[in-house]
Amino acid sequence: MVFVLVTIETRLYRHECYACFWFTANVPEFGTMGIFQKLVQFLGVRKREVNVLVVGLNNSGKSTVVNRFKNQDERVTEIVPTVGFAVERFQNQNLAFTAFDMSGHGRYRDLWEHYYKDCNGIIFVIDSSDRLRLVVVKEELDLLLQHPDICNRRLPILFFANKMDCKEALSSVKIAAALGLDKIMDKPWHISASNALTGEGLQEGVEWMTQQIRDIILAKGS
Amino acid sequence: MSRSGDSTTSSRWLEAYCERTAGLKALRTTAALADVSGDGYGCFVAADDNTETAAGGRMRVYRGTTANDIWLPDSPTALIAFYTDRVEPRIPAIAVACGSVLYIYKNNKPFFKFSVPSLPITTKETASWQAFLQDGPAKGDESTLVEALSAVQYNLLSTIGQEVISEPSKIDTVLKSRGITEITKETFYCESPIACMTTLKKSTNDRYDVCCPVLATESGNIFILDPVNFSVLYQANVNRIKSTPFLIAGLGIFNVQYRMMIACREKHVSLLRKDWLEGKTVIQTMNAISDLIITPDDGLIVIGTIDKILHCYTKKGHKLWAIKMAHLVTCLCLIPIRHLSITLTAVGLKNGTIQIYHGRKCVDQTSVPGSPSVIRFGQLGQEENALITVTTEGTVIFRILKRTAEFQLNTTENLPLYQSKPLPLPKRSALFLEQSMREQQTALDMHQSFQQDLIKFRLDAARELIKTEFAGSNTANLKEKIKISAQVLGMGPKFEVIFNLDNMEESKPIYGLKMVLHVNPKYYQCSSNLISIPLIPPGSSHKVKVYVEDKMVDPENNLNIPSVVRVFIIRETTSEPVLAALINMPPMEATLADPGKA
Ligand SMILES: Nc1nc2c(ncn2[C@@H]2O[C@H](COP(=O)(O)OP(=O)(O)O)[C@@H](O)[C@H]2O)c(=O)[nH]1
Ligand SMILES: [Mg+2]
Repeated sequence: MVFVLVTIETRLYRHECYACFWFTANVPEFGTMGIFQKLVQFLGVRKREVNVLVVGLNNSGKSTVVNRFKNQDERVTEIVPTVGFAVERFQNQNLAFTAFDMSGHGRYRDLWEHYYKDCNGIIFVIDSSDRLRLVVVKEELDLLLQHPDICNRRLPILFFANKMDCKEALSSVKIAAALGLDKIMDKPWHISASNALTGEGLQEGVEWMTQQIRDIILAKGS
Repeated sequence: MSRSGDSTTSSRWLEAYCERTAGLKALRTTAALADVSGDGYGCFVAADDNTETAAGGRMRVYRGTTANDIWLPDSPTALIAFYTDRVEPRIPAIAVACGSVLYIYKNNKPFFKFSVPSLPITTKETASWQAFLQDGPAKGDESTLVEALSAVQYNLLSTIGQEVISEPSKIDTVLKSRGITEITKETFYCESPIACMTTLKKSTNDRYDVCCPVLATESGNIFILDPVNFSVLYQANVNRIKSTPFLIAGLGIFNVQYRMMIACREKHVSLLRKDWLEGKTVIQTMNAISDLIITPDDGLIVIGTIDKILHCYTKKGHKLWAIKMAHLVTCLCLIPIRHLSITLTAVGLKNGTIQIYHGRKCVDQTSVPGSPSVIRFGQLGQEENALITVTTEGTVIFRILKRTAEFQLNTTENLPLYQSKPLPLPKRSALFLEQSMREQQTALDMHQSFQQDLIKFRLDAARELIKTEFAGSNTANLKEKIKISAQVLGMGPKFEVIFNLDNMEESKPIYGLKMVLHVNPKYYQCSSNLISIPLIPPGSSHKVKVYVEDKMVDPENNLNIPSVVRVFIIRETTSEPVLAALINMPPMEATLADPGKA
């Protein structure tokens, strides 16, 4: 199974670099992917590519979460705020990840909305210590759930109540209540408290996500 | 959560935090948003009086939703945040004015202290002290000293003078404790508290550029300080006339060009520009000013006054528009929304409504629990578009503008009313100027003569009315309900006059009347002068035919003979005529000798 992790953040930074970069880098990425897939098909190995979208507000820890999924030797020691966007490719056990870390201001949201269509799962990273912006998280989540490419699909959503180690961090139960997750009826969802710096809670969440996607694919296949 | 006044659309604001028990009594001038620790996390900083102990104040720093208090030695009057240098990480200074001292903090730690330079005392006060001290130390007449000092404006008095005024009974101890025998600069000086502050970009218009603090004192002095060593870079007076500033807003760059608007308690706004030693009054308001802001792009001045009016003036002080608000305007705040490239104005109203204006059009409305005392907009935490409100009850409210929020801005409708192209007024002619000069110079006389004419006219009108009422020349008598009309036939010299008497009574007949014709016998002769009228039944009329002959004394009428025939209807029993009428006889056609009928 091939995971494509697309990391999207709503970033409101001083120095912003927008979409232009994305298109130039995008072509070779998918070009090599195509060759790889052809090779896989040629070898007769049944492998499936799964796209998972990683979303969340800026500074919630998306890049750090993605960094945790990398091999020990490939990890970067210091995560800097994503400027423009960054592409991350790494191999973890038998899963291939491609992470697109891009900057997305409100006006450029149309650009990253295109990923909704092709994704098989969403990872929503929340900074549980940022009480001030919990309303913004809720607003963004509501917008995402209302989007036509998402609202009528049975899409698994994994929430990471990240930065659980912080003093002011809210519990995952409180966050679930504040975001009104119990109202999500038509989609499987799961919330796990995490610490992206140590990796705590991440594995549990990803395993849940993998299981969900597998179930959906099997259901479709049968 | 949605408290929008506009019920058709949901609120544009997300309610992030509301602390009703904050007990923060921040003023319009004592709140700011700053990246206090230099880590890109916007904090809300506000200062107020210390309510726990009697004296002193406190500065509260909100980092996210957690507050941290720093105690201040005195009640704060103003608070500003600005960058003093370009050293990384960029940590701004927070300056709080307490009395005449400016306490500067960096990253929540004391950093610097600046005292407003003391000023020499006024000549008036010097004279009163001299009179008091000339008889030797503390021997002069205390009551005359207090009286003389009271005549001087309190905020211009020296610190000793103020002490004496406030407690005249302790004058001895005040003077003895300092051993005052003569007037020296060291003992007699004026210390004026800082009333309000603002910041001015030093050399570029960059958002993160170094700023100069600008202080305005109660006595009407302006000090622009160096952000590095806090020395006075520039000093000026608010105005030539007595001015007590309480709000100040600046625009521009210190090294290039700048303008400052200073709202004073004397209901005027002074303008101070670069290199001016003294400000000029540009706006005069009818009522006290409650808040003032300058829009950054066009330099317009928006003012709220206590008569519930929001005014807008050009930078030169020309009035553009004024809007009557439903409630008192308590505070104003600029709302620069960078991703929409617009700057709006938040107007806090006493009833808790916050209206957002684009130009003079209200584009959004939201409300807070209580009357807002200060509104700030800017980066709070990671969020760039946050609206912070503190109410007079001490509630602190944080709101975040929705990422998808849009304001229906109709640009043409919002253009300032100020005429970009002048009205098609005719050129001022020399006559117009002359007339207006005359009107200005003799306004009183003109008014009086007009009033005289008006009164005369009214008097004439009243006289005429009385005349017609009581002259008895009514052609119709309402009491008797009788009417007379006359017809003059012929061209002269012999005229036939036909009188028609109408009885307008519905049921009563009229009888016992006589008609008397009165003419000047010199000029006219009547066929008969007294005619008896028979009974006239109700509703009918009676015709009387009389011949009047012109005696042709003066055919050209050069002598101005009144050619009239007076007719009286009389009743024998009363002396007063029942009816009187005047018949103007036509002038006789002199050439026509034929006396035939027409
Ligand atoms: N304490 C703590 N800090 C975290 C955690 N996850 C991320 N961070 C920090 O949060 C900051 C933002 O992380 P980043 O991955 O760049 O966020 P992104 O903008 O969502 O990509 C970084 O300084 C991280 O070190 C966590 O679980 N606990
Ligand atoms: Mg990132």
